[in-house]
Order: sequence, then structure tokens, then C-alpha cells
Amino acid sequence: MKEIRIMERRTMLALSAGALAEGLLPVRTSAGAEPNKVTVQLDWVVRGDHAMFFVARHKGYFERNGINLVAIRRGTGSANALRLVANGNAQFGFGDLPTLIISRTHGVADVAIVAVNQRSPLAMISVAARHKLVTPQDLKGLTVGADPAAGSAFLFLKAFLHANGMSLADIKLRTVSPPYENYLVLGRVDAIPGYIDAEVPVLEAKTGGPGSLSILQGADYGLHSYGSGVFASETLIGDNPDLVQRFVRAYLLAFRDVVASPQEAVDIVIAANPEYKSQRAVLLAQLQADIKGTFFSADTKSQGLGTITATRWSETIHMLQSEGQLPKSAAPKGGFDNRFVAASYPMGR
Amino acid sequence: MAQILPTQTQPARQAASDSDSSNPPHIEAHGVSLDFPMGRHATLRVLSDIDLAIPRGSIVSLIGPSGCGKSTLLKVLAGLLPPSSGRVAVAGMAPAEAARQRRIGLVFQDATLLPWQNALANAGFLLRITDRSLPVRAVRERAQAMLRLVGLEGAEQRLPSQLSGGMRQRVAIARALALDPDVLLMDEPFGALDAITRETMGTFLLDLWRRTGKTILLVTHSINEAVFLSSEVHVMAASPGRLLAALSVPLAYPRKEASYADPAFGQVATELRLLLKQGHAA
Amino acid sequence: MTTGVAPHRPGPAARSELRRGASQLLPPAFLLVAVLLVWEGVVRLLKVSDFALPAPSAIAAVLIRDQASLAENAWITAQEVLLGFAVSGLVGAALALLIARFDRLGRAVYPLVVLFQTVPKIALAPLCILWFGYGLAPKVVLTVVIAFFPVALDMLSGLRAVDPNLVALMRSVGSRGGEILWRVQVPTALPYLMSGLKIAVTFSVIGAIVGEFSGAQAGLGYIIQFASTQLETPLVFAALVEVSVLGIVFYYLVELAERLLVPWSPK
Repeated sequence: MKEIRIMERRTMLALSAGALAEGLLPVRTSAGAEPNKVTVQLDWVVRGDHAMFFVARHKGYFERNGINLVAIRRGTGSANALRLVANGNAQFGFGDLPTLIISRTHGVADVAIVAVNQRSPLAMISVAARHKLVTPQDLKGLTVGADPAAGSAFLFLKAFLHANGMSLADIKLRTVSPPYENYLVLGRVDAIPGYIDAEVPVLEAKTGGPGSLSILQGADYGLHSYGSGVFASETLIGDNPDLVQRFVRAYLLAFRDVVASPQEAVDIVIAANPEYKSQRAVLLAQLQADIKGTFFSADTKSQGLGTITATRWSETIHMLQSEGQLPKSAAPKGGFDNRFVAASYPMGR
Repeated sequence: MAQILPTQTQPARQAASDSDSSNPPHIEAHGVSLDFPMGRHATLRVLSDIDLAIPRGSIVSLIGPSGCGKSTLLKVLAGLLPPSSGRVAVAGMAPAEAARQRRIGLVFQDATLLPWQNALANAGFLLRITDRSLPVRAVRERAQAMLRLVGLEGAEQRLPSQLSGGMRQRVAIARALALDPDVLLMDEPFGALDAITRETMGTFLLDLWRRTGKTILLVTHSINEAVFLSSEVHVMAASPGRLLAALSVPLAYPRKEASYADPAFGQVATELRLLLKQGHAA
Repeated sequence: MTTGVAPHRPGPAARSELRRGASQLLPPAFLLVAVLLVWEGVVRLLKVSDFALPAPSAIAAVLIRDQASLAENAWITAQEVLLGFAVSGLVGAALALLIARFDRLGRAVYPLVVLFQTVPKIALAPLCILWFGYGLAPKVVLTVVIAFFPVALDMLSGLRAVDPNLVALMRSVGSRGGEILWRVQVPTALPYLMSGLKIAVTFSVIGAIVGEFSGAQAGLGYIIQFASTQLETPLVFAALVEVSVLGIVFYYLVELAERLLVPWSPK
């Protein structure tokens, strides 16, 4: 995977972008139909990989697809975002797909329709000047800050340790409350689990710029799972698959644009969220971390950005099961639907 | 001199006299007892076998040690508390009925004025709530007349916080009089005032009584006040509350400051003091 | 003897008024300035990082730089506070009236209200979001459950503070419970209600911010949260300053209302 990332990135980028540009069907809305009112529920505050929604709105992709995007709501965690979409408070959501799988076993009937992070952006992070992390074993004996009550980051910590032959006993766990970065910057903890496309650029701004952090991305060290993606409720997909199709199509058009010109994407995000005016560099760095490290894979090369495959989905489930997050006995059914992505690239290979 | 607008005709004021068969008592109690329940089985006898007869148009005091039940007796006479046994009559009817007919005026130690209303509005308050058909103007005029009667002309617009204690009490009296009651029951009305204001208010009350001819029963714990004001002083003892004696005060009306020096004053006062001590010891 | 025109001086009455106003404002102003100076000095001397504890000068810079955005968000929070405060005032007053007027209902309801009061409302915040979504509603609901109690409690005290002799007097001339309630108990309770409202308005600010913490799209609470995730501590403090100013302004507005509506209130 690392090799693909470094050597073929540019090739993959060109290929995917080209495929999209040619492959995406032109817009078709039924003449005279009332546009659908739609709300999007994000998982957290706005960050780089949320750009597609803003770009699609700004460039009229939603409008052309008969969708009136009423609001893009900031969130308070993937779990809440999943619940709100399942309840019908919003039509589409963005959040952590492993959390979606777990929530499904609790009756939250959402389905992933676009896998934005082909690899999980979660990583173990430390301040390089204090504790350099070259291999996972360098974590031994360090104080790690995480919140056992707060879902995905803590799960990742356990999974990362486990996948690399260690356990919680090898580190000193200190319970912290989000945002964890404060503790790392102040040196209260030696390392934290975090997202390369969220906290890392924010931290780098405070710890001395790119390179000031040691980062071990889980996907490079044995953790194979999807990261975040777009989801909708089973109800919506059942009742109005046409709306879901149009939404995904508009989203993917924007995805292409974001990947091709991240600078423009960031400007659009800031225009929609003026409080981010002073955070331009951070937003851009978040987006570039994703472009470099999570948006692309062999699947996207052959089938287009956002593709979800059964294989990778199983890998994600397997990872959750080996961490005790899912019962090993019952293999969760469903949970993703790649139809809409696939239908947006009719020339798919 | 103020014009009182009576709703009932008032008899001319009589010199204080004992009741006799041609002049039935205005306030009377026969064998009145009151028991308060204490817990599940016990009761406390608060008033025991009270007999009282107050002639019409007289001014009479009720004196006794603290806690002897004089305020309670006043409440029974006012119809606020039903007696456990015995009979009470005010103006020939049950006190609750008399109150409903606005024949009883009540004045308490605390003037209980409404702090957000000025003197005029306070004076007319009871009238307003008992007779809703009365037009606003009529209420205001009556209230003004009552304030004039108690000597507070000019203070109509003042709030209670802007009135002295004595003035507040006068507004309370005006409020009671606005209903034109036959009877005025007063529970230590001047108890919260300083000594000089108290004496002034006593003189004022006598003057008011002379002009209106109401029957007044005054509860007090001041011997001087009782003797100075009343034609008859009833002495109570405590535990249980009962009447020890009724002393008549042989001083002519109108009474002035000189009355304090009259030897009869001193005699009655001394006798009262002895009775009270007796009541205390009992 | 100097020649020339003597400068006009304000008359003695105006001067003493100024002096009184000054004597009230100066001590806290001096203290505040002193605290700010010490704070600035400590941060500079000990080279405390901007991110851990920003200096007052850094906070002031952010207040100026982001004034438009802060003002816009402050207005949103202010609306939440006003709405929540109004509803909590109404709910609290209505509850007090019910408890005072209907004795049996009161005896049933009052202990439950006290029990409810001991539940930490912050725990309810995420539930409010789940039930009411991300709009204005959850903040208003949260504010109401936090702020109604002091209003209810104080107003109830006021309703019960009427002289029992007066009530007995009114009853003896035939007044019923309802009349006694509205003519005497309610006006007596107004100064107490205003006390409760003063507490409720500060609670309303807290409620709005806590509600925003649990999921808001705008408002000072959202700014605080957003600034936290971006490690922008000066902005956190700037938003906190505006929250405090909001709270003070609202508190004194209620005091002003008290002085206008309840002029007989004992000071």
C-alpha cells in the first residue's frame, strides 16, 4: 500500500480524474419536478474531507440534480450523526463507517453509500521532538491519552496495539476528554490517537509545522478498514432511491473537483464558514493529507472515487470483530450499497 | 367635618352604659369554649367558658397576659374561628354572617396595607372587593371621605412605605370604616407604635368613636390604654383562656390628658394590675 | 487676581450625582484593570504559550479581529437566551401559581419538582439534541429545565408571604381563593418573582451555552467549541468575554425591569 501511495499517486490521480471526467453521466432531472429538500448531517466540526458537500452546493451540482440542500449541519460525533440520519432528522450524513457497522447492530438502520476514506485516517501521533515514533513498538511505556467513553479513537488505540503484538498493558493510559490535542501539545501525554486529516494539521500548526509530529497511520501497520463516508437511512434508500442516486452523483462530481483543485475547494469551504477564515492553511493541509493518504486505492483506480467493495467491507467487519466490537458469531448483514456510486460511472471497469 | 355616607342609619351616640333589657348587647358570647386539636387524641383548651356582653355604642377593652387567647377570642367574635361550644352573636346574628353583611370592621396590629397601592386605594380596597357593582368614582369618594375622617386628607397619593406607622394604622382604620360596619374589632392596633404616637392614636380613636358612634372592642396589653379608652375593661387569664373579671371605668367622656391624673384612673389601673398578676400566677 | 473667564463648572447637585456614580463604578473598574495587568505581566514574564493561557492583549486582538463574526454569533446566542428566559419565566410562574392555588396539587407536585432539580441538566443536553434536533428547540428546552426552578421557588415564597390576617379578613367579607390570589398574592409575589428572574436570566445564559456545546451550528458556545478543536485558545477566551458581557447586560436589563415594574420593592 505504501508503494502505491508514493509511486503511483500521481498516475492514479490522473487516471481517476480522467475516468471521472469522462465517466460521469450528465445530469438529468425530470422536467418541472419540485427539487427535494435535503439536510446533511456532519460528524464533527467542518474539516477538509467535508469539502465535497460545500463544493457541490456552491457549483450548483445539487441544484442541477434536483436537490435543494437546505443545511449542512456540524455534528457532535459519528454516533449522533448516524442516529439523526436514521431518525429522519437529516437525509444524508457523513461519518465513521466502522461506527456505522457497530450502530447497525444496535438498530440504527443506516447504509454507507460512498466510502470517502478508502483507508482509515486514524494514526498514533506524538510530538517528534519529545518522542519519536518509528515503529509501533516505540509506544511501549509511553503515556497515551484517550477517552474510553468516546468511541472510535479509543477503539483504534486498542486495535493498533493488538495488531502490532501489544496490549493496553504496554502503555500507560491516561483518560482525557476531547479535544485530546491540548494534552499532547502541553506534554501531559506522550502520544494520542488522532486523525491525519483532522487533528494532525491543527497540531502541526502549534508544534512547529509539518514534520514536527511523528505519525504512525494505522492502515500502514495492519489495520485494514474504511474510514469515513457518506451514508443514508435504509428507509430513504428504500423509499426514494432516485433521490439517493442524484445526491451521490452530485457528490461525486464535487469529489472530482476537490481532488483536482484542493485550493479552490478550501476557498469554497471558507466562503460558507467565515469563522474558518484564519484556518485556511489547516483546512488545506487536512485535505491534502486525505488526497495523499486515504482517498485513493486499487478499488478507486478501477471503479472510481468513493467505491465500496464487499472485500474491504468484510475486512472492516473482521477488524471490528477481532477487537471485540462485534460478535464473532453473527456476521452483520448489509450496511453498504455501492449501486449509486457504480451507476455514476457507467463506463466502470 | 366629614360627611359619612351611611348605608345604615346610626343611632346617636349614647354615654357608655351597661346593657339592660331595652338595650340588647351588641356583641355577646355565652359559654364560649375553643379547643385546638393537638396530635391525634389530645386537644388543648384555648378558651374556656367565656361570657361576654358588650353594649351597643360602647368602647370596651380586653386585656390579659401574652398568649392568654385574647387575639383568639377576637377572631371568634369576628367570625374567623368557630367556637367548639357556646354561642356568639354580633348585632343579633352569627358573627360569620355579620361579617358577610359587612357589619364587622377588623383592624390588626400590622396594618396589612397593600404596598403597591397608595393610601386612597388601600382605604377603598375592602369596599372594592365586596361591592363590585359600585362604580369606581363612588369607591374613590368614600375612600377619600374615610381618609378625611381619620385625618389623612392630603396623604391620599402616598404609598405605605411613605407613611409613618401611625398613619398606616389610620389607613387600616379608614379601610375598615369604609364598609360602614356596626362594630370595630381591633387587635392591639397601636402595639407597634412608640409611646407618644400610641397616646396620640388613643386620643384620635376616642375622637373617632365620638363622631361615628360605633361599638368598639379593643384588645390591648397596655393598662393605661385600656383604662383611658374604655368604659369597661375585661381581664383575661391564661391556660386556659378565661375571663377573670370586668371592671367598669368611672371616668366621664370626653377624656383628655388630665384624665390620666384623675384618682379614679389610678384606682382602676391598680386594680387591673392586681388582677393581671393574678391571671399570670394562675 | 487672574483675568479671564472662569470655566463653567457643573452645579453641586450634578456633581454629587457624578461622584456617587463614580464611587460605584471605580472600585470594580480599578480591580479589573489591576487583574488584567498582572495577568499580562505573568504571561509575558513566564513566556506562557498562547495556546495554554493567552495574554489579555492577545484576547483583545482577537476580539477586534473577529468582531463581526463574534457579534453575529453573540446575537444568535442572545436570541436563545431571551427565548429560553421568557419561557422559563412563564413556566416557573405558572407552576408557582398552580402550587399556591391548588393545595393538594401543590403537595403532589412540589417534591417532584425538587427531585427533578437535583438531576444534573448537563447530562440531559445530548438527549435534548437527539429529541429536538439541532435547531433552537433543544437550547430553549435545556434553558427552561435549568432556569424555571428559581423562578418557581421565589415566586412561591412571595405568594405565601401574604399576611394571613389580611387573607382571613378578605375571606370574612366573602372573598374566594381566586380573588385573593390575583388581587393580593400575585402583586405581593412580584418582588420575589423579580429576584427569581434575575437568577433565571444568568442560568439562561448558561443553558444556552451548554445547549450549544451539545451541538450547535452557530452561537458563542459553538465558537468556543470550534475554537477548542482548532486549538485557538485566544478565541475561546474572546467568546467567553462576550458570554460574560451578554450575561451582565441581561442581568441589568432585568434589574431595570424590576425598578420599573415593582417600584415598591424593598431595596
